[in-house]
Amino acid sequence: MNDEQTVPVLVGWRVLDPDGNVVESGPWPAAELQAASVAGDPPAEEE
Amino acid sequence: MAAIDRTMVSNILNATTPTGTSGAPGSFTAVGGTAMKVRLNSTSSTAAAAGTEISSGGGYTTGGQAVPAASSASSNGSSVTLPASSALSWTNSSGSSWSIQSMDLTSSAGTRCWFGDFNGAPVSVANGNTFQIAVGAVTISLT
Repeated sequence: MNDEQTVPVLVGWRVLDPDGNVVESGPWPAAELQAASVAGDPPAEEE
Repeated sequence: MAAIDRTMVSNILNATTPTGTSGAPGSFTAVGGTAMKVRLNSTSSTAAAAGTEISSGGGYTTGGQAVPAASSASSNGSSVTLPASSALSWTNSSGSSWSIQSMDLTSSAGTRCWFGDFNGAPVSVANGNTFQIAVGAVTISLT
């Protein structure tokens, strides 16, 4: 064995502008993206 | 996922192998009793040393930011994730851009434990903008 390690890459970061808009992300976790998507979807039409 | 500091590797090995008196397990050097911190760096950390920390002031405090709450403990070898409960957030008011490459998880006193680079690093954070690490974004495991 040796102590060589693969330096991991971390996702789950984002950069916001002063208005709270996402400028860049690393990506932000999918669960949060899904929540935002649900919040922005129009209500489903009832048949 | 995060990699482990070399000193911490020895700490764990010594405490779990017969390196103590008469073949007893060696001692584990505790890493502090208050909230751990996430430190941001402009260069990559390695197993031997932390990267160059973001300059103090203008939205960043030397040593980094304390985690907001306790993470769920590892069980049966599972990983530990952080931060728990709320995102970590730094707003740059330094007057110039931050270039963020990596992070270290340290004790409150700065003892390094784990480290990693950010995907797509370096991440440029313009003055006035905010850098955030999501809840559970950092996963730490030994297997």
